Amino acid sequence: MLTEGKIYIVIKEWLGIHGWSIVGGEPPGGTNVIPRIEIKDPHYTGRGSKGSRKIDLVGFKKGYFLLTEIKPRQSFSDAKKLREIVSRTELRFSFIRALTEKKALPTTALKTENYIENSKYLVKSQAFSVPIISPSDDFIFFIVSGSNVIPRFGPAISGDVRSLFP
Amino acid sequence: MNFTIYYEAEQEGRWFRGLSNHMALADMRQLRTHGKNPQMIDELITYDLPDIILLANNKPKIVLEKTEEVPTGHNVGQRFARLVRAAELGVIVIYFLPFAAMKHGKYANPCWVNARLFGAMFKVGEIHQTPFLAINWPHDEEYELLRDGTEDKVIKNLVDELLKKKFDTNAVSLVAQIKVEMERAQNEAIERNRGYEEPPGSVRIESTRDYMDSIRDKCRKPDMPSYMDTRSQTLIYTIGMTEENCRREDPYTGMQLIYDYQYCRYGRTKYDRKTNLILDFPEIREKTWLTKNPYDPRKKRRLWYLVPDLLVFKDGVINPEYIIKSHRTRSLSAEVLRR
Repeated sequence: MLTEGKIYIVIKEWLGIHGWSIVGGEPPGGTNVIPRIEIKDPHYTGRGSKGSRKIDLVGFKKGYFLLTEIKPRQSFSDAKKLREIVSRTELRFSFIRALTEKKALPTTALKTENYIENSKYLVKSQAFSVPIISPSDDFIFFIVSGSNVIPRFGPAISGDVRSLFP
Repeated sequence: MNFTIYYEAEQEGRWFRGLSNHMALADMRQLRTHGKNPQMIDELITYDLPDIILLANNKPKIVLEKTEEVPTGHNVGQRFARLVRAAELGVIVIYFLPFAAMKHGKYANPCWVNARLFGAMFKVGEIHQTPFLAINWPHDEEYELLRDGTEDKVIKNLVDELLKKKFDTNAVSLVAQIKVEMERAQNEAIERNRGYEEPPGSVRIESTRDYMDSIRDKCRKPDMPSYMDTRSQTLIYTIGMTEENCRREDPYTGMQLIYDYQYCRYGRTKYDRKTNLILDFPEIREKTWLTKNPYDPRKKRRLWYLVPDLLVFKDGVINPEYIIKSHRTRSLSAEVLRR
């Protein structure tokens, strides 16, 4: 089974090869050139980052953000976290705000309100090496083995999104 | 020269290798937990795991730590112990960090590095006669960190020069320039906050006699470190952890080293102190502490016992040396029985 660090490197390179710009994230156990995207809890008013959510990798291509969580094994808690971020308007707002603050928006011309009002441009995904399973509903699973990546699409993933992975 | 790069996270190992063409063929190895690496690596990670260790012809030459967090307030100690260990062993230390950066959120503001970090770094470097260098991760005009590759310019030059000059730091002029930059950043931090000129609120320095008198009721054991009385002053670092949350190390075990080097040390070992170093836990009972933080030479919590002269609790004291010796005796006995 690959380590989280190894999967991070493989999936980051693979997405780059497939035309995705990596705009942010948090590498496991270290620092990278990309900014950390911390989605603050809108209900927490104190100091610090209590309740905030960090995404391992954020990619952008043709108007879509790809939110990827990475673990050696598929994680249900990661899936839950991504569902929460994408489904809640205030968390989508926090996501866009975090990108803006960190100057990580892929283009200044981006119509940020589209991403706050509508969840369809935020794509949920998980990268892991085991088990080799198919995703349910609107997730993409990246199965990473050695330096190979095999994307698997949930039934609710649209044709437009699938076409982003030629 | 053959290079080996030990890394904690692979992306950082790759980043480090990319700093100089001389390392293009470096052997890349993942750091493992203490006790599972070659002995010289385990020696270097006795206090904690650094991000990078560079070996040249199988000898440790550079230990590097990289962070995008500005070390402010108490966080400044979090990464310090691992770097001190490298200096103790005469290995060049490079700490790549932002001296200032924007902190986001409701209380968004630029924040600056804690001046005490520089003070302690200079002292560690001086005592161990080893370069202990902080390199600034630069930011733009709005205090956002640069991430376009230009941020690596200084560190690239430094690492490349060190490799070219076979780690002779006297032959690398950039080392002196970096020290000047560190001094400038330290002075600016003190200008911004004069409080850095004094110990922080959690630290006080008292006469040893007065302090020992004040804890006399707790010190009924015969195993008190005898050398403590020979030092006229004692630094007391008060750690406000409660019994519920006392199973932790960061940032306290690093902070004790910052205060040790800033206010207590004059020489290479903990016995070379002019001022005693005491950790005071007013909310915790001795027995609870020992249950939650027993000495284990393989775990990071060993730092609670390796550094201070005494640990003081609500109802007693612990001589850390006694704990370490007892552990060794028990381990030896167990070993003899096994054989």
